[in-house]
Amino acid sequence: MHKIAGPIWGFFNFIRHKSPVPLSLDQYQYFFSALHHVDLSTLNNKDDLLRFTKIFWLNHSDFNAHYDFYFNSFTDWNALLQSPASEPVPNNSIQTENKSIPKFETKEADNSETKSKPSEPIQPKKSQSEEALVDFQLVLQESNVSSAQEESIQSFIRHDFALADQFIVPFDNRSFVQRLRRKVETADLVASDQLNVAAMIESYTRTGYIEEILYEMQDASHSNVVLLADRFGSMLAYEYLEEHFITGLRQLPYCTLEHYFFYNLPEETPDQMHYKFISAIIGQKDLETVRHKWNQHTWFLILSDAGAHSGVVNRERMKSTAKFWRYLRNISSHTHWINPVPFEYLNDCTAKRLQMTIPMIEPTEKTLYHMMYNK
Amino acid sequence: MKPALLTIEHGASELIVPGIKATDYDVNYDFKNKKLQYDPVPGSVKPISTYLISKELAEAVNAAIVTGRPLLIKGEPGSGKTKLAQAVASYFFGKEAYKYYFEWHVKSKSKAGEGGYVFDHVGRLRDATISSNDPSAAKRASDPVNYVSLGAMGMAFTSQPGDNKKPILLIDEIDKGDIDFPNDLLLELDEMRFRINELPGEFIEAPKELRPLVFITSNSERDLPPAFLRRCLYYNIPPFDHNLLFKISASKLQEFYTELDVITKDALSEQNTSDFVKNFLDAKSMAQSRPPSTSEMLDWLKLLTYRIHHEGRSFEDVIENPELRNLALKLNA
Repeated sequence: MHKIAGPIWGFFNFIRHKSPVPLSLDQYQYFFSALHHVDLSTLNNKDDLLRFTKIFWLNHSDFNAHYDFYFNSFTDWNALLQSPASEPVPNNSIQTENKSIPKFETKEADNSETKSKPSEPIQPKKSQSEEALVDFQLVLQESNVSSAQEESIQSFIRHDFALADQFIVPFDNRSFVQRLRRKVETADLVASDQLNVAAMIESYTRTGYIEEILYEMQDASHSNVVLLADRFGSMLAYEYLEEHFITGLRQLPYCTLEHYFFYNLPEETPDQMHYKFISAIIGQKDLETVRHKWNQHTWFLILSDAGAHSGVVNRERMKSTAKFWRYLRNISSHTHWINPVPFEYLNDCTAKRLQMTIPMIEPTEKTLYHMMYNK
Repeated sequence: MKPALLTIEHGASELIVPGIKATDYDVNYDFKNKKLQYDPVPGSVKPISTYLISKELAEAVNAAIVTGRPLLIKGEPGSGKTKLAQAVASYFFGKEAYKYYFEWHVKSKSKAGEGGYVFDHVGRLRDATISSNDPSAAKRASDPVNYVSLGAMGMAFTSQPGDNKKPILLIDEIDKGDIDFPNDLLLELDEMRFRINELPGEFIEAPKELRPLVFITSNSERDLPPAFLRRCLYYNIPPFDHNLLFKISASKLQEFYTELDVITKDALSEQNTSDFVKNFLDAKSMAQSRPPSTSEMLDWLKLLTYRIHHEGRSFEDVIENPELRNLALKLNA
């Protein structure tokens, strides 16, 4: 059995920045969304992959030769990176390095590997040049397998970071909701800011004086979870993730779910005191109209890649994002930023810098658990 | 929802969509019920030719279905760009293909808005003018809905095939349109919705899961704007090799036999068909000016089939006939 592994995002960026082929980020998203639906088993070698990527990334025959040239240059360059001559590596780590660098090469895979779950890829520390290449490993293999082996094929289509897809989701919705309900559906009663006049009168009639100021108790079990989802652009690839969250959060019985979306960042109101959100149900909404429903028990889940796919540092966006973060954080400490693109795969871009100031987490079982229990 | 895709059998390198005679429909949009109405045209059928979809082309079509992006098809004239959309419709819908297949042939005077709808202002003006003498005209003129007819794009946005299949829209020869034509389509193709200006608050919109599969063909007569190109997937139909031309010829021969009322026991042998393709490729390579296209090759094959089976000529005799070849392949033009 042959398999090939290719750093697709690295290649996309390579031709985008180095070649004259006109490319926009949308075109990466088209590729991305098609990835899990088309029959990848028909892609058996480098030529097949070249042909397949052309459907999405080449839209003018004038650039055909350029595209082929840069595709081959990229694979050659990638091969150079693996060469000990071009990038010396310590003797004791040569084996590990060779395994870790994604490559467009055909290699023999052990037959037994198809039947068992593939082992976790080894992830040694990457150099800056490698980091630019590493996105995820698209692993392809020959198609001559029976339908009974389909499941094992699915396990082979693995990625180094979560692809949000209705078939491949990075966390189990049920366990996520079970854990979250313990946090948001607390049976605790907390003091509200309303005076409990009846109790104070009762105390007065009993003792002849007011013992203490009593407040109405408020049932904290009716808390809100607010999902603020970044949509469109690079977040198109993660639309299934948003749906996955919504499906789970709707199962919380004593919790009010509010679902809003925005593009890049919510628009500020003219006075710059609040934000405008677009409600998934009733359209645009000024925050002032819903702000009163939020309190220190409200959970804010922000689902956004924070410009991870832009590949540039946008200082204005950094500033606005930090302001937006502070705004929500001041309302509730249960404010969490869920970024589907992990930190270690980012070049120097807005998201990477923001992650130094805003704690962002990946949507995985482990990280979501840590998020809920502040670990 | 997993959309229905083209499926090539395991081990096969192409998908043969057999030719059929599809029912012809008169399609209208019912604004009250917000759905299309289909009336079969009595006695009218529209043939859809046999088509051979290569594995690579099927991948591109499937990618367009999954991403909801238009597929821009380029290739030599006569390479089957336009027929592809019909073949895909035939693959998914069989004899009901024309219920869910809509084509828009772009002309030099075409406007982007016409694909969505056309409003008959003149008709309404006429009805309004004669309304004092004709109560039915007065009634008609009072409701602007009576003057709106949806174009191919509007029909495709409102079509609902079911079974996770998508309606099919062909925008043929987009480069024939005005220079701004592709750019004017950007919003409609992105959002798959448009507004009917004459009917306040009336939008025609394709539901997310029923966004039509859009084929756009171009003869590369002029460059398309980058903003348009980046919204499309792209496939360039490559020149066919001997193997593929042989398969195309063999599959089309069955159709010709039916059309020409030929008894299939007299069918051309595989060797003859292969020799025919070789002759065609030789003629193509030696062409002085414009090389003949695949569709012209099929014309030649049909002509040969007629001569052999209805005039009693031998294959060797007709294949060597230069006049026949030049006529079919337009080598004397």
